[in-house]
Amino acid sequence: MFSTLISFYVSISAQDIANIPWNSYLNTEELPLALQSRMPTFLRTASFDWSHVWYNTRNLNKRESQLMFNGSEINRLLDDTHDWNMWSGLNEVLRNNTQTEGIKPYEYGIGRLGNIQTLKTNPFELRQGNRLTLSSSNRSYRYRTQYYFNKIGAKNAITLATSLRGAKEGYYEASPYLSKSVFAAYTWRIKSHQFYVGYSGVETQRATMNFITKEVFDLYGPRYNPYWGVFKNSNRNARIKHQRNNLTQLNWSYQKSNFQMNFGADFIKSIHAKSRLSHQKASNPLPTYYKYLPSYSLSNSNSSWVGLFKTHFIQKEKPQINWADLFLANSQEEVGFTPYTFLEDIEIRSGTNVFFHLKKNFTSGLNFDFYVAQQRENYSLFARVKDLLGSPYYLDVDSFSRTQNNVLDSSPRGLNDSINYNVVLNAKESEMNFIVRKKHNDFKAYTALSYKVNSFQRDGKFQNGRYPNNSLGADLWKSLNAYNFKAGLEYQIEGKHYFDLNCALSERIKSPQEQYLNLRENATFLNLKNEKRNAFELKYSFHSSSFKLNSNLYHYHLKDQNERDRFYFEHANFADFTHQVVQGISVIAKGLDLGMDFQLDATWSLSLACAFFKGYYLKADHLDFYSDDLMQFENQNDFRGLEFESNAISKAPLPNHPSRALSVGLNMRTNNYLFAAASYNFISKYPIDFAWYHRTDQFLSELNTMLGKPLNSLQPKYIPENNYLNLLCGKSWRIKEGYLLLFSSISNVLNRIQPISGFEGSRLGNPTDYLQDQVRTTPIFGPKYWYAMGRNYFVNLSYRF
Amino acid sequence: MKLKCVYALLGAGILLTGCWHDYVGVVPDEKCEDALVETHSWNNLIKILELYPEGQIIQIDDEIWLKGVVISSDKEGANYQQILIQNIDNAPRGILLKTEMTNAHFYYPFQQRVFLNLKGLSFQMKQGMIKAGLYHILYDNPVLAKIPSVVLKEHLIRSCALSEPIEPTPIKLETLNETHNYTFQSFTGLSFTSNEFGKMLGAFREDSKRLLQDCNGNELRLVLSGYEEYYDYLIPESQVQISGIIYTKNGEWNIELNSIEHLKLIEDLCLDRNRTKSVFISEIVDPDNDLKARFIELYNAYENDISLQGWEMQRYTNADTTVSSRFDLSSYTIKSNSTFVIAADAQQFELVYGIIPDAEARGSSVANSNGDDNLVLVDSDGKVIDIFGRIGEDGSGTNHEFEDGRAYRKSHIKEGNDIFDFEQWEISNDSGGNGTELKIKNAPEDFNPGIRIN
Repeated sequence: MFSTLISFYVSISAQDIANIPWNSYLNTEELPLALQSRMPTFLRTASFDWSHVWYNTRNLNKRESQLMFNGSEINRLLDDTHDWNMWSGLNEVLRNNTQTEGIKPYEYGIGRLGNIQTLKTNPFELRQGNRLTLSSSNRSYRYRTQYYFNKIGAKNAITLATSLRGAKEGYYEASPYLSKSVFAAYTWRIKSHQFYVGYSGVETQRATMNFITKEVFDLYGPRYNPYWGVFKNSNRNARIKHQRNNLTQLNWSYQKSNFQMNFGADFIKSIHAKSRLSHQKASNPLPTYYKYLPSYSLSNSNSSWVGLFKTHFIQKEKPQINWADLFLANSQEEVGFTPYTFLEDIEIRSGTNVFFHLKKNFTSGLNFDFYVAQQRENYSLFARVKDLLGSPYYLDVDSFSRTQNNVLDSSPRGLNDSINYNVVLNAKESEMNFIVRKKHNDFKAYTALSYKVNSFQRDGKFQNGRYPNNSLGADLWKSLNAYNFKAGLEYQIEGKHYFDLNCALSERIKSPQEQYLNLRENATFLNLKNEKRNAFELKYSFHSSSFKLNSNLYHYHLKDQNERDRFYFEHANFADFTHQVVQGISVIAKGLDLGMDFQLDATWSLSLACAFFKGYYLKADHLDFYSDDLMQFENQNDFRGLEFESNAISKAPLPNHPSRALSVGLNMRTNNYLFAAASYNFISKYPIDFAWYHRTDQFLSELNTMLGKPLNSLQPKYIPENNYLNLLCGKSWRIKEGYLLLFSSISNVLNRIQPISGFEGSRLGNPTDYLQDQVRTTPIFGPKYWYAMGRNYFVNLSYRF
Repeated sequence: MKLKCVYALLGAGILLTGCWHDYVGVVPDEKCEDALVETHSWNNLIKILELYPEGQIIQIDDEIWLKGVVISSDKEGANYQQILIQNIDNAPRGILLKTEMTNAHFYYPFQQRVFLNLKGLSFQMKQGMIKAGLYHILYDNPVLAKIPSVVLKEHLIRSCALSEPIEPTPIKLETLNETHNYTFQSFTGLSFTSNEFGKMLGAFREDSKRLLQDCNGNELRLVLSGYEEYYDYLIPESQVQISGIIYTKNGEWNIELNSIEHLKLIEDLCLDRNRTKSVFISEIVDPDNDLKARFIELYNAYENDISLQGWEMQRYTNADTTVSSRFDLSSYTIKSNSTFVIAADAQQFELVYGIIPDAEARGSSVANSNGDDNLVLVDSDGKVIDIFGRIGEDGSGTNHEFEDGRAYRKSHIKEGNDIFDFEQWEISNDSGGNGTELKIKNAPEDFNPGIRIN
């Protein structure tokens, strides 16, 4: 869904804004914005064509990009990410947006290392009129309908939009989808003042999928979904995400000739619920549990009944969750635990943002932006019984340690009672930015400085039996701060050549989710250092009537990163669900992003986008394990502060990003508003994520002693090269007073299905077990992948009047 | 199920709905239909297996359905990856199904009626033990591989018939034979070995065996894997009634418990104190005229025969405080309301008294007392059942001297006494004094071995 949304963002580089009036291309405006001709080729390709492989520009994850909505930074303080879900389905009102490419700040947003999206929903600046859209697709939803209305008056303007998207089954089997959204905004002017009030509300319910092993993919195919089963003649799904987001904004701006002030406040209330099936002292209900797969039987008895397995499942039915069995197990007269429960992990977020922005332009070409904002949020995190599955009640006891999850109230729980964990996280963020820009002839320079303070406090509502002294009650507030500095210089020659040099020295404060070891269960605070990020980039652009070139040569160095995982880990001395924290990760990356457009004639143009990337790890400091079983083990310090073998980490390529991505496209645009484009994409092979423990000194020295020589297990496992074709076409007609547009796109026309992301299995901590599993034809705890979607389409019919 | 729908009416009159199922609180319908299959006798399977050499693995390709009941349960950690069923019959046979299914008790609980389709499964019979699995070749040898859960569910079908409790009548260990393998049986009057009382039944995650014996010494071994929830149950002193699945291994009978509830504590049946105390010393003689005609007579005043397994007759010579000699009574049983005579010299005894003694204390001087010794009757636990004399005190000149005479237990005495009580005895010797009768006795006229007048 995120990729669908991002494909509708347009990017305008600084000089484009000055040159092109907004409404000049009436017909092209009907296109999804990503495909408009004025969007730089590279950005368009990266967000549309390469979304198929989950491409992240410059391998910077979502956290590095920033989102400003009408001046306010909409981010989640819990995990320091930006919340794109606030407006899902409301693309119609988000057409007025800009995206910067690279590390340069935009307006008053200093940003991080990634792109800055600035969304503005001021009704005065949106297109007037009505628009009705009907779409069909076979991705996450099957049909979509949208309605948009905007009326601009002399002194005020109003915008309304609604959207409904649904599917009984999306791309994956039995994956229902339902999303409704509504947006309303009103703005009015009094002299130099402008007031705005806006509301957006979205409710989405959909089934989610997870990474799978190659074995499961080979057995059951690309659309296989293990998370559902037949229940009373309908397909009941056990992994549903249900989100309700509400955002209310108030904005006041004052504009005089060289002076601008802006004040805004927004109120966010959102409820995110993820449902799942849990079990205690009963067999795992998921059909892809490792013990139910042929590889497990093969390992135990060297059995050749995998043939029986295939005839059984491929010719009969694919294995799914057997809901009737779950109810059967729950109906046995058991006392002491509930075998199966359907529960929801809930996050209730409510927050307030307040910001103030001041802009002053001086006649000497100097301008100055001052921005200050404060954000307060509190998160209520708990799990809740969603369905008892035929059991009379639920006993809230930890299934491994058999301790009470809420020592204060251990009575049986019923429907909708909170269970497992219940914690409130209060967070505050204060930020202050100064940006100074100076224009002189063909030069433009800027300096940006930012200071940020984050504070958070954990307030536990349950006293967890495993951590009786460390779970209940309010913590002390913890405060961390960071500086951010950017500077840059632009130079243009005759409006054709354009150079842009930027550099950044910044720090990122690690979010509460990263700082608390296990936020849900106890208050252990890791006190991690700020992540340091240094980057510089050199951009060059060339524009002429028939040829356009945009390029970005960049280099960045990230230090003190950390990575956290939680998984079931087996070692000779302990086996348990374990938290693994790797600290002090240092990463270097450099590359070149290139986008070129050749206008062959009035109708045809050729576009080329390439991204060369070389990124690798420099070092990682140490690895720590935390788990309950480990805490019982007397030599638990043997699993803390584990160091890495330097050869294993240094120069290891960064995972899940191609070293070379290339897209060659042919575009056609005729005078009677017919357009078509085809692009062929080449994505080079890249390695999947490795298991950190398998690179520690401790593990490797044991392994090498056993083998007598170093094993080449450190060779990365690669996702093979991926080449795929995308096609699109569309036409618009003028009908009566309005325009009708038909647009369709087919992605991955050649139906190449292969993994696009993956990670190695990290369960086996014993070198013996690990080696045994590696040499099997089909490893039991092998890597898990996310497979690309096969051929998929999108068709859109809209009428604008 | 509730279906919540959202409607969108478009300008063109098209109605679009988006619906979402709400399954909360909905419970599946309870439909139960027993497959209309014709079931066959279990003998069909057994006859097929008997055609082949013992231990050979045979795959059944005929559609044969058996009706049975589940007798195993893994609810408490026993029967890991195996399910046992037996037929519903007076003389049931059992089958062990090797499976990969764990937590099978949710689907195949104890006492669940089931149908078993033999087609496609492989069987092996060894010493009457029938195992089922999937045919597979391992290192060129055929083996029985575990049946995967999904395949098992197709072969072993739950029946809608109500599960009636399985409560087999307790049987005797002596009567066990090959056909009892893998069946659910009950045994009563068993006890653990005394030096294991108070210890844990099993060991954590380690195999263990506990010996159980009945009153007649027949053995049954309780086997634990150490993964059962009840492994730390403390072995009781009292007798138990145990119900479980039995099988032979290395010529011995083993039993496995589904649940600790199948081990019940009961009143002692064989080591009943009421019974054992009914055995006592009734007559001890030292004939003046014939040393070789000495004997000890015991009497069982109980209505049942009593096994003297583990019992001993002990002699403390003169003033000895430790046992001077012993006579093991293990191979004897004392009949109800009867005497039991232990002669010092059986041949002479027969000559003198004209009857055959019940035992001869050959190689032991227990029955050969010259009248000043102390005698103790001890049961298999070493408990004193009856005593004559005072240990540590030489009988000469005391009220427990019977030199050249006799110690006779008075007629009204019906049980033993672990403390010597002179009032219970009529004692005659060659010196008199201390209440004893001064009278010399001769064999056979003065004694009545084998007879007790009550």
